[in-house]
Amino acid sequence: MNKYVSFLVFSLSLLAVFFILLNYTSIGEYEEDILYLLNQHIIMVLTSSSLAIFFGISFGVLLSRPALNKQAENIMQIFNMSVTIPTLAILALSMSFLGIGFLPAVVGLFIATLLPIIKNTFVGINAVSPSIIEAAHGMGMNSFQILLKVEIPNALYVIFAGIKTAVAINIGTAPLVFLIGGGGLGELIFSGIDLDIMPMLLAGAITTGMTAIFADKLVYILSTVFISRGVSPTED
Amino acid sequence: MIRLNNLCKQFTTKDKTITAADNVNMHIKEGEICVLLGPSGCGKTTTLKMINKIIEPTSGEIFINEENVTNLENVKLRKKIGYVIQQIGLFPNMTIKENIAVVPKLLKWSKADINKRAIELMKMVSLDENYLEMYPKELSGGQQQRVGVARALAANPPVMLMDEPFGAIDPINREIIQDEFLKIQTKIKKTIVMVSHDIDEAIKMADKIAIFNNGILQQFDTPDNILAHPINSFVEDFVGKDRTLKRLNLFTAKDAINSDADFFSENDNIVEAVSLMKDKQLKSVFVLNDQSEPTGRLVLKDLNMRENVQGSCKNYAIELKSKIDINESLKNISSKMYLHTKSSFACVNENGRYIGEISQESISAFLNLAYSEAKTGFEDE
Repeated sequence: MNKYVSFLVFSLSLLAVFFILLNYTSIGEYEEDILYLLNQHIIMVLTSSSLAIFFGISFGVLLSRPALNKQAENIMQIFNMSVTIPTLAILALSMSFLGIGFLPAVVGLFIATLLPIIKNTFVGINAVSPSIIEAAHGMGMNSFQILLKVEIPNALYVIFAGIKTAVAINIGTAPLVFLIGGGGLGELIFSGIDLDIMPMLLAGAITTGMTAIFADKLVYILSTVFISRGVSPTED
Repeated sequence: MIRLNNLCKQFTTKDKTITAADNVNMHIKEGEICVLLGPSGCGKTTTLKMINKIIEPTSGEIFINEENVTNLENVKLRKKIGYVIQQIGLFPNMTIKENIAVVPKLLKWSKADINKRAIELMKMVSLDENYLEMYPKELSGGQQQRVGVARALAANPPVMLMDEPFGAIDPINREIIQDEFLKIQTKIKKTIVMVSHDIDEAIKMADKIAIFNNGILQQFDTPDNILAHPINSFVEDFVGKDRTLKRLNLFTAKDAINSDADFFSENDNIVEAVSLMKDKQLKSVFVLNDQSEPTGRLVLKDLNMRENVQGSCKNYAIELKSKIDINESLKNISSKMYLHTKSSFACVNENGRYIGEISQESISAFLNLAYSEAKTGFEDE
């Protein structure tokens, strides 16, 4: 239970710092904007990363199935190459197909976030020791039971590493969606730069930073909930 | 119990077909441990894995309990068969209890039943109940393999398949686990098929040994018959040049005892005793006390050197330094013979009473008897 308490303490202190910044510094001028854009920002990040986690794990699992095993390596190669495309370029492409606004922003973030999750799911499941799978077959589990009770639980540590990377990329990219009309905290940052107003810029930058720290902690705490103690190499 | 009819497995690669198991025919009786033995690549593991269809047979039939299971659904078949592999294969994400509960859960047992069974199994494999809540990585290799065996026994399957179950355990623990396993087996009487490449393990564990080479079953017989009558030069080489010494491991003093050997009581007259020994050309004879415990032996050579021999045997008997328990293995007895440079020992039961004499002659006579008996049996067929 200890880790949940420490997570709660951490979140509350983060909130307290945020409260102090809003009330006792010049950032406070933009309180209304911050809250409105933060809300937009969080919805965007949450929607795109939840979709990415759902589809990423699904694709990863599909690729790891024996039926797709031969093509999987080639498909992974294509994915690996697409990781080299800068996220800004992905957003630009998304805009050119879907126009501007919330939808292209979420789609762009989704695509940028998807790859590490697919990759880690695929690699994690493939790395589950064949002897465990053989034992599971020998005990009379069917393929679906083996996937759900053996393969995924034992791959979770690697899958969560992918989710962690993906969420970091997502939050890092999120301010850029202002450029394709997606709104979010990027609006304060870019406007601050353009207008040369330091407090406005900081209002966006600091809030984005704190969101990132919180998200990282959140993913960690979720990972300890889902990953069995017997699988995690760090916990004893 | 388990019958394999013309079981074949062929693997086809790009340019050739490899026959891993070639027309294997076997009948394993209920409650027996059958060890599949042979060098690597001989087809023993393939044969084992065809029984629960981890490897699908190319042709042939498998019967379990007179039921043809060749076409039974894999999942149904496997729930009836316990399976232990060399790499143990415990699920790292599950606690020991969850690992044990896998098959019972698949069979939809109640939670209470599963708990009860888990505790029972831990006792059976002599592990503490506290381990139930731990994860596999927190256990040592030997403990993990015990859990592996417990997990295979969870739903009480009539048949167990074991693929080199003790191969990954260090020699000292292996001995202990083998002994414990044999003890468990005397209680649960499962029909067990086990793969091994270790002839000594096979001799120790098996009721029947099946020796494979190049996918062909070479010989399928009791350990003693395999050691006494290797059917061809391959089996003979495989069991080793010391095969007669290995046979000593299979038997105890009980088997080779000579209960007709002459003995004297402590109060018998020594003069009569000496004349009897001379008549029968006995080099040494044991002397018993009133409780029929062997206390000493008369040695003719020693008596011949003495002068004025008269009175009771007691005064002339040389004290015994070592006696043999009726359950001691012939191997240990032979070792004692060399240690004490004696060619015979007095054999006693658990109350210390004399039962008979065991000697080099009686051991070799017994080994030869088994030899000729089996030989006639073979010719009769």
